[in-house]
Amino acid sequence: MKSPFACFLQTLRACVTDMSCAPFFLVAVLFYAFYYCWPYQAQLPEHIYAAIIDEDQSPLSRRLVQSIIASPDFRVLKSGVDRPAAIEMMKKGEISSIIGIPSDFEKDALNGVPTAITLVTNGAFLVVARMQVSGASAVLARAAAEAVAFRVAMDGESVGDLALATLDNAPLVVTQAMYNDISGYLSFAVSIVFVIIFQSIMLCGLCMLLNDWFSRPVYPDPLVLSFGSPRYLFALIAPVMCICFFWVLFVEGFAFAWHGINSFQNIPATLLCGGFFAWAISSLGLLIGMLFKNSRFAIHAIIISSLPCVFISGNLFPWNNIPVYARLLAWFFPSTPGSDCMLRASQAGATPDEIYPYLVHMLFLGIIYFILAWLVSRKYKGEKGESAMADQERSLAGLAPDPRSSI
Amino acid sequence: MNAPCSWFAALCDVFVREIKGIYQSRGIVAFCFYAPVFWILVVWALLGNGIIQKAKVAFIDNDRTPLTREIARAISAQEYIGLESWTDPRSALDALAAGEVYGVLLIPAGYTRDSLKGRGGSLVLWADENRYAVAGTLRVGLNEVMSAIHIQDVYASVLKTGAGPTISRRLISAVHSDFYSLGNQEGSFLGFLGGTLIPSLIMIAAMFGFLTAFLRELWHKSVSRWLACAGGRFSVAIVGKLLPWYFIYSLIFMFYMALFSGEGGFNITGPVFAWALLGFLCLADFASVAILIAALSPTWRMALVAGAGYAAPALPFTGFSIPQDSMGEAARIFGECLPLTWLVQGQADVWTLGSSLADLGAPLAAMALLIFIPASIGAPLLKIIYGKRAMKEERAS
Repeated sequence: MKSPFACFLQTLRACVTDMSCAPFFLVAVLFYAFYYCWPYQAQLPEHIYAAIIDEDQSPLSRRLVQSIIASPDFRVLKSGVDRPAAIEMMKKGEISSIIGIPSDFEKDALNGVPTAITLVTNGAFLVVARMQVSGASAVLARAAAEAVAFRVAMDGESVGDLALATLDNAPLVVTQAMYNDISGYLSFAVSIVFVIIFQSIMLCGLCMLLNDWFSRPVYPDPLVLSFGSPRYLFALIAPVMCICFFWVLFVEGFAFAWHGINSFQNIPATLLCGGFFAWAISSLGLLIGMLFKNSRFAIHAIIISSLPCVFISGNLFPWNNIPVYARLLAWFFPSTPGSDCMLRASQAGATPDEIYPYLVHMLFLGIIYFILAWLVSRKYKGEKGESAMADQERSLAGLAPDPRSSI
Repeated sequence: MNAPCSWFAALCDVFVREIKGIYQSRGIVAFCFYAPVFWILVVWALLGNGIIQKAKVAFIDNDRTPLTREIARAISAQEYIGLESWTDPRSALDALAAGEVYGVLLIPAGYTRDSLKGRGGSLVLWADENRYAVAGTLRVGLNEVMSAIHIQDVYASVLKTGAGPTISRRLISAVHSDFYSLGNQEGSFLGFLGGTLIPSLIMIAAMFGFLTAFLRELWHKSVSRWLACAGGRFSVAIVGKLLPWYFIYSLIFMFYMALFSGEGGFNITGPVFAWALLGFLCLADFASVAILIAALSPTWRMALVAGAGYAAPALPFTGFSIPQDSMGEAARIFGECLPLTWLVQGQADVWTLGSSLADLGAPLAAMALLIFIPASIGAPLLKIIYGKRAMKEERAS
């Protein structure tokens, strides 16, 4: 009978040579490390492409238009357009926002009748709209206040200067961007999504390997010996754990450094997180592989669930706003504690003490899935493997069992 | 005269055969139909009304004056921010690093003194920018509150000059900025993610569905029976095979439309027909790519890998998060070669800008082209490859 270590080596060899799973274990993470980051290379929207509708055409509104055009936050593609033309530009995707100055703006502003400069954005793309509002609010407020104060001062009112002076005060809120210094989208999206990518790729790889083995007329030894044996089951998933751990280090280290993403801020914690995450997803992969056996729908199940996993992890939408049943569902995915833990350890520099709840969660998930996989695998006991078949053939031929099979 | 009739008769035969095949496989029903619907409902339900509420923020007041207490009350009244009192900045920042809170808000000592002396004080917010969506919401919420408080301060300052309430009001309230977020004024993440993530999920499921339709014949070694059912017409074999799947995913897409506009209450300003057409065309694009993938993949596993690789990571290229004009030229062009990009953009135009069919010329033409190109390459290849497989099966039997 083969030793667990021999099974480990045979499984590792299969992981990197068997075409049913090798693309997942060898190529997929490397490919995604660059492909997924590709659209986010700019990190932030470069400019707010805007058109200005000036329905007032007064000295005050012209001054306001000049202030907005001078602002580096906006790239005004057209000013003085009418509303239908601006909406047409937005429909064609030429601009992403419309700034409107209403008619009688000057008259209303100077007579104390409330009036407003409007910024219209596309609410279908909320994150971009938020960026635009955030970037535009200070510019528009300042431009409007300057314009009004200028006109009031021209009327001889000294309070215009005072209003300007108040604008020069310290900012109301100083925001310190933590762990993602430039508030870049690449750093934000990729570091979260990569945990889900790891999970999907490793689960697919392990499930495809097991599916391939289960589809063979004679099962390979590592699979047969693992039925009902925790030691051999562990030998079966240990290569996947090693491969997953390697790719975690590669992405969090080399790939993120290449892309300029903050990572490895706490090295021991990141390594621990990578190790526990590899354990949890390998165990889950083992369970799914054992359950699906030679059914061909494992990839369907894994990939379909991967996209929602990003959103139930609590990193895009606050955890306390997610309904209890969705949280309960999320609890069973290794990506939930995995993404939190990796963000904390690698990006935020949390210490092992600070991430231990996530580590315990992943350890616990791994144990549960491993035990379940062991229980499932016991059902398959008695199904024959390579060595057993070879021994049977040898005994039928009147020969002693092959001594090499007991290495 | 009989040719079209026999074509349709054969199509019906293949259609019925495919329906039976779907119905008889529990795996197909579970993973190509129930699983996507289940995940659509989970994504829909998990966002609630899509408004970020009471995101936890550690609050440290080092000034402890009536003014700072008033600020804390005003911020607490804001729906986005849930303040939790902390005393030690160090431990609050540790909590931020550990992910227990989304931000740390500090009122520094001397804030009230600086404010009253006219120098102005600043609150300090440490925001976890790795959880960008929440951090952005915190910034917007906090700025709203502080701007309102600041306007009151300016009003009081101007009053002190003896300018009188009229001029004071004129300065602070005459001009303000209004922000309109078309189609999603309340800034709901449900509208944002519902409009992007769910169509993406449907298209991934559709890709698997279309591929499974072809792969099932390989699994069961029934390619020859499938082609025989089509009477040897390959066009019938492909259309008849994909039609039931197309119908199922069209129904799921319409279910999503009903969910989004009906249950979600997002008011669609353009014609619903145009929206549905975009979805149907996108499904046809995925069916066309599935033909190409099925033709080119040497094994069924490779076909599923290629299908997943094509459909799953397409979302970032649509411009839903970072605008397309901020992407590099190559990434933008690549994004435009993906049907999901046109679906997401076109759907947003219909939803928020009220685009009619005439306005949607570019997306519709692009999507039509994206049906034609993969199908025109994939169908002849599939005919050759599956034809050989059918012959092999016949020889083996």
